[in-house]
Amino acid sequence: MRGKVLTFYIDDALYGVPINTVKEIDRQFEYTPVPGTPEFFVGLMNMRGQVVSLFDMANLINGTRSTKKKKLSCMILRNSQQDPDYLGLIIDRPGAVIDIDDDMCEPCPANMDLSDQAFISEIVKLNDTLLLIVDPYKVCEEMEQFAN
Amino acid sequence: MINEEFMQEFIEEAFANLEDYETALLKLFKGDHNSELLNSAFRAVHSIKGTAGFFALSNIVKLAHTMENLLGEIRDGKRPMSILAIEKCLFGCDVLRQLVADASNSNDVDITDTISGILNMDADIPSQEQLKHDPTPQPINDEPIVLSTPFPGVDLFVDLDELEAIDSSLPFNNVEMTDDVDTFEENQSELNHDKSAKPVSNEPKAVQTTEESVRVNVALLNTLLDLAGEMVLARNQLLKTLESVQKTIPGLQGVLQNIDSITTELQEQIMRTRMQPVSRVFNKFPRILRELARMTKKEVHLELDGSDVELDKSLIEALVDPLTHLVRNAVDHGVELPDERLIAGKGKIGHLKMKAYHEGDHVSIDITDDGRGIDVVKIKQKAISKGLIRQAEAVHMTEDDILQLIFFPGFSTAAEVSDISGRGVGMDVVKTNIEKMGGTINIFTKVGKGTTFRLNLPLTLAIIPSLIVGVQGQKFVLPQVYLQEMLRIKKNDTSRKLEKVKQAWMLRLRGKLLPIIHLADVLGIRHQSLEKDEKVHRVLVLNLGTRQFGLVVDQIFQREEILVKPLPKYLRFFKCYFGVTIQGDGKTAMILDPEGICNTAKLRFHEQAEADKNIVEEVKLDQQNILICSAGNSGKFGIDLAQVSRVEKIKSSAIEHIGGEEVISYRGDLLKVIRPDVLYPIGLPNQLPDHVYMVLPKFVSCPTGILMTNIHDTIVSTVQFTSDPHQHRGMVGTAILRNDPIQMIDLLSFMKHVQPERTSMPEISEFAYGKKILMVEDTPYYSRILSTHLKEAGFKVQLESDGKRALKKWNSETFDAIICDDLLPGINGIELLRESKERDRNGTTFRMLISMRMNAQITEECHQIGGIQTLYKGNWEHLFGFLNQWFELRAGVNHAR
Repeated sequence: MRGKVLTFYIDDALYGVPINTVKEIDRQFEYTPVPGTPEFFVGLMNMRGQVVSLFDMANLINGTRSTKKKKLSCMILRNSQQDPDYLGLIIDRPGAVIDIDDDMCEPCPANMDLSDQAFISEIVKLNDTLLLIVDPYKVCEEMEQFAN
Repeated sequence: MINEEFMQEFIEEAFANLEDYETALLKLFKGDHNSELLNSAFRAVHSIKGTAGFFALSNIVKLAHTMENLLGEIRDGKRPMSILAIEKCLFGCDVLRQLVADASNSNDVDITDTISGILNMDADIPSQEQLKHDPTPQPINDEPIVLSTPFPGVDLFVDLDELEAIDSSLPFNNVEMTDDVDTFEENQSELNHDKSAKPVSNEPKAVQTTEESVRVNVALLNTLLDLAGEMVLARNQLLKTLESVQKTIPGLQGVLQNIDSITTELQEQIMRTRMQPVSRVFNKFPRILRELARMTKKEVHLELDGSDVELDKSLIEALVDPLTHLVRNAVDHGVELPDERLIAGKGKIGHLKMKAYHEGDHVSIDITDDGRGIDVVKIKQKAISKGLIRQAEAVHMTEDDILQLIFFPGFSTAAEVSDISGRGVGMDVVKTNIEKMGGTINIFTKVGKGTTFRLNLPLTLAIIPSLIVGVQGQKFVLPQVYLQEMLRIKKNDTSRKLEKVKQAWMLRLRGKLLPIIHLADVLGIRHQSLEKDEKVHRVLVLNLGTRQFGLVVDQIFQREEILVKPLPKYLRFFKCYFGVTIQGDGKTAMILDPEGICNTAKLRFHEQAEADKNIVEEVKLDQQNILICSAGNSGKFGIDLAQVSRVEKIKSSAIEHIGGEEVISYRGDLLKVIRPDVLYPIGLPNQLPDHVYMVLPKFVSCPTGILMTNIHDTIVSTVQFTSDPHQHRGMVGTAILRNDPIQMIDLLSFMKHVQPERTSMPEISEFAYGKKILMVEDTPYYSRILSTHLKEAGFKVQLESDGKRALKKWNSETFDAIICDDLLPGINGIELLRESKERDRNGTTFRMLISMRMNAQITEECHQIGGIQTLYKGNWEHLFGFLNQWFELRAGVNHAR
């Protein structure tokens, strides 16, 4: 892909999503857990009268739990007419906005585990590090799998 | 005379349709070839045509029809999708728009040229110039209609189209718009007047009306509503935070008060934007009533009252169907024929009144007729004859209870099914729909005087009364409609306590056992919460139709009106929840769905099924011919005579001992005597009475008799087993027959245990072993005995007693065989087998009907369905042979392949 990417950190690794998918980042957020849901579903949050479903990205990507850490941030993604439900991702901290270009991107290399690839749509080769582009909308499938 | 208001709705709708049509065509024009686009264009003209036909606007119908044909041909590939074709469609659209704009005069416009222009593919589109000079007859106006210049009306309508608020189908007497409408109507009449007087001017009228209202997206309004709610919360927080310093800062109090009142006002006003007058639905009824009166040959006068009462938009929409149904019923069943009315001393013309009014925090709508009323006695009889209630129940029912019966599915008192009503579907749907909106429905009736149906509706759909409960410190919302009562069960209260059977908790409530589950357990917050030593258990008794269960929670908070927000899609797989709400403190709380909780907790209710069964069973359950006998002081045994080949009375002195066995010579052979005490601890006396009885079972390879000392009786009866789980080998269970406990012996099982080598039952074939069978049988005796033997033989058996449930199971799982009784609750066996064929097209499953009344008709029916074997239930032991044969044959087919 090419365009602006908002980066963020989870367990000290760098991830990113296209900036136009992000609505806002909240450093203070309160949520209500929902019993019976998987560990990676943190709970629901009230964003000025809108209900946001919060997901723990660290849990989804690394299997760790970030809700025990302090000073987390919550990245809320834009909704759309077709998909009016707000999705929020719990991240360690936001990074920066960077420009990327097609030639910097590559699909996941062959030796990466399929389960690790689930949420990674692309890998961006930055000068000093690798940036993993996340596809957060896969969470819906994860929820369905869990429920069944 | 055409109702102006309906006409307005048509015009607005037609404009919207034409817009869709145009957009679709323009996209096609750009080369975006997509059949969906064509379809949407097609739909748009089609719906214009349909509605125009309603108003007898023949020109619009004709033109729309032509366009529809053209599009249809393109869609079906009969015509190429050329630029010219699309241009023609667009041209048609322009003309149609002009016709629609002045719909009431559209029949006077000559459109033959336009139509032939569209039809004639070779010719070019008639140019606007040509049209302009076409002498079109125009009776009102000598000025020819100049199609290229829009009517003044066009502008006017377009403006209105833009300005009409909230909803495109709003009638024009909407409260917010009253002012505009007046202006509009004035202009309209002026306009009509103008037309007859002077040439049409190009000056658009009523431009000033555009300033008064704007079209707003409903989603935007909802967002505003949400924000207003948030504003209220924020205000509360602000007031609370500043409470302590209020007096120390001069002027603060006034500002706060101001903010307080403005916020309240803001919320109220925004709430109002979603409100619409009941006239939106009411206005449809004069027409419906006329139609009904004509069809039923009755004369009915309709009175509408309270049309300006406002309800939430979504409620208004949901009301149309229930109200229509109630009105139909009132006219069809309620109001009598004119002659009957005269005889009854009433006026010839019936009266129907629809009245909406505010009452407390809800809105009531009464539908009152002055017809014959509802005859409670008749309803009762009908309900009994339909098996909805039992005679004994009916005696104790109050008039109100009986009236509620008409809401039962499948209930109709009309002697004949008419086009309008009487099919018995409907009232239950009305009730369900009203309840879905959070409303209730009451009936008031007096025979000979009339009936009133009263709908009580909440002001808005999105707010429901509910109870806030807590588990492990977390709050949940329970919609109050499900709540029947709340109980506090104290720890040391001996009169009322929770009791435990195996893992299940229950409570005695008015003589019935109520299953009890803990919310924390169901949601997976804790486990075995009921084991905890609590001082008080708080039980919420929930009602789900006929099902009832107790839900225990840790805390019960207040009752609250909550705003329902739909469940985010990520949570829709979690069935315990029904929605989300945002509470006063700004936190979200989950709204519980009792239905889902019921399923998650795996509560299997059979009350309903049981009740149904009881009604049906008296007729349907198979009866067994039972031999009642005893041996010594055994107590009474029962043996199904179908398993017995003979009963012989013999002298006990005839019993000889040979090789440690007791035998009698019997018809030139030796009959082995088996004493039942080999299997049952019955204490047979050493000294037998002079005469004893030999019960000779079927399915034995050499003569065998079971010794009984007394034969008491034979009874023809349905065997209902007691719940006593204790079972001896060779027994089916214990039944109460004629007030005696009878131990039912299963002779086959008995023989298998005592003399397996003498049993003539075929061994189950290796090919049949482990096959999965769906056994559908509602008679307890057979369902027990058959499933036991099939299981013992090595089949995997699933038992079902209800035809409908069986079919569901059949469709959701895979079985190798289905064996079913012919008379079943739900759907009968033959139907079930017919349906089951759907899943078994290549005939790989064994399908068999077993019946006590096997006759030519049944076998014929089975034959017609095809592939169904039949078996007389009395000979059920042959079942194994059939099964073996089938599976061996199938295995053989497979081998051959």
